Amino acid sequence: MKFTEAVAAALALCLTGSGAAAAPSSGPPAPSAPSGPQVNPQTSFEEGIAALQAGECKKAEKKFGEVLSIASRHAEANYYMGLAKTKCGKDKQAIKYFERAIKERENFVEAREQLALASIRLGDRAEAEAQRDAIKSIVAACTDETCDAPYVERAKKAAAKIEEALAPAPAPPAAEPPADDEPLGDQPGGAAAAAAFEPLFLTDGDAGAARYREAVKLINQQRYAEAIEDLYLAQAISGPHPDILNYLGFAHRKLGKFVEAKDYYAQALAMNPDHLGATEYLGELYLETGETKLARKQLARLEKLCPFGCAEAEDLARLIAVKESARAASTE
Amino acid sequence: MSLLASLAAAAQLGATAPAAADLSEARWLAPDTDVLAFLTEAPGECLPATLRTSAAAQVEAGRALFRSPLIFGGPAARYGLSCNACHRDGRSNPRFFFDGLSGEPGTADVTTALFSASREDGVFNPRPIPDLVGAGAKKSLGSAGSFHDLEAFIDAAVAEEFQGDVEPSLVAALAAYLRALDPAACTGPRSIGLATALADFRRALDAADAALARADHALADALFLAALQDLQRVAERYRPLPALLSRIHAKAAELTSARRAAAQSPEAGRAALRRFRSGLADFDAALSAAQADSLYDRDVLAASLKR
Ligand code: HEC
Repeated sequence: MKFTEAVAAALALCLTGSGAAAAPSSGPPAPSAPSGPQVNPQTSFEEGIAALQAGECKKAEKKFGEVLSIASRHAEANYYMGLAKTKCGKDKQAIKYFERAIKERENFVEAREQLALASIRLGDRAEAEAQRDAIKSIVAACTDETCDAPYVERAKKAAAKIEEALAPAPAPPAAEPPADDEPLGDQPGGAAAAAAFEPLFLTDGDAGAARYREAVKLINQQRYAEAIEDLYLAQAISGPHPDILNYLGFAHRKLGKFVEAKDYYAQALAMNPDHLGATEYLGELYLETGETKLARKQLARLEKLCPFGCAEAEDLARLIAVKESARAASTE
Repeated sequence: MSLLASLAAAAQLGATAPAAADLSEARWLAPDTDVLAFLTEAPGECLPATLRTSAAAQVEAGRALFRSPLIFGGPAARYGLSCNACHRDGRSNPRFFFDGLSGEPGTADVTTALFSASREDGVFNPRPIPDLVGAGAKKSLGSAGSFHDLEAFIDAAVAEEFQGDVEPSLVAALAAYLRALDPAACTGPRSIGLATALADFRRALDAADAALARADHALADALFLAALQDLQRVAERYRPLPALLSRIHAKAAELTSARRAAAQSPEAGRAALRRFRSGLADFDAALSAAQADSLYDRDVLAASLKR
């Protein structure tokens, strides 16, 4: 699979209104009340995409607002929220969401493109030029497998589109609706406790879950960079899920990117504080960074969460024991 | 179950009723499965009631391990797959289905990276899950026929297919269990209830004690975990009954302490196990008294599945 192609297809849908198949409707069976605490981010995400396709910008805003209330840093949800704002004529707000998507994922060229286009509409040509240049230097600097041919193709198209929009004389700034300056829709941790997550691994008949299982296969084969592409795609299809964030953390850690890894674990745990995998892997990260005390704290937490034992606790306990006996041997 | 009891159960279920998927036993099923039948009846084991005593301890250890997801690692252990999930009661499982692993129900691709770190063969080739009765006497195992030795086959299944840590004594126990299965001893379909679940639990505890008596630490530890997992399956069926559920949790905590003691010294572990067992009669009685309101009861289970 190539993440880049498939994600392009998934992202393009919102702009063209075609390809409803990429937005699976079979999510976990949790109820989704509009304003109550019972938000299911997968369902809201799918409904948001459907609303975008149907051109219902207000509904899309609301749905991605729900998603972001649980996962404020989900790159795609921020991007889609930006699109919804754009469609509702709120470019100024849209910009904040595109910026946030880019902050979460540097090489998110679609978000950069939309940020540039919205900036041009607001009369900020310098920002658009900056985004165009950023896209060009990302392509120039990227050599690993995340920058395969289709990705480069998309990036070039995005840069060309910005170029095209920059060409004519700048339009007068669009009139903004007065109520445009509302805060970003995130209350980290707010609704998180109420969100119910089925293990994605066990979810049948769902395109995002199937993609997630492909990522698990790649992780089992230690093909981490490719796994990350599949995980991004999984979350682009089915919205934020702590299982995806957890494996994003795992794969980044295995590639030696501890800062990113820690950040993904934190996001997974913000969505589900009892997430066994993220609790375990954060402990493993602490072991790798020499913070054994913190690792033991993670183990204590797992033992509490698993009264009948679980693989997560067993594995972390084993790794701590190995580390400690190695240290004992080296200090003798 | 009386009408009043069933109304009370229904009211309690309202808050916490698990979906079928919440019972780990029902996790790997084809969509059109009669889940109620699956959860109340099993194919029946083919294990002779009386074994030669020298082999009995090994066989009993293997039997408990066969039912424990925690002899595996990776996703298999994390999502509760066990030998028994595929080879139910040591037989086959025509209802087994897992998206990405199965073709027809009752088949599984055992050469995929979904669970394995090393076995991906690049082909989706699910095979029927075989009945293991008689496998111990076979000259070649698996449809490729590439294994000629039961221990080697099991070693590879645990370590390569399911990312487990294979201790030789665990493999030996699993092999002893499979060799003990005898077509002449098949009982035919059996019903699943609290009594059979608690019997599994006690047999795992006995096996742990026997392993401690032989100072086989690795085996004993795996058996403590197997027993805890048995208890978890009971807990899942008592989820509608919070008071009993917390009692089960307390038992699990007590057993976990015994496990820790055993890791320090086999003698301490055996002593802790003896204390643990002395409280079991009361525990069993309390669970039995409430069985009619638990998910072991066919009507209560049926009601919860309808939701
Ligand atoms: C995911 C389902 C699954 C799990 C879990 C599983 N098996 Fe199997 N097993 C199979 C399938 C499918 C085959 C047939 C493989 C083939 O035809 O090559 C098989 C074959 C076997 C055979 C060879 C039988 C014969 O007659 O050739 C043995 C022995 C066996 N399994 C033992 C085990 C043990 C012991 C465990 C636990 C450690 C286990 N299996 C776990 C699905 C499973």
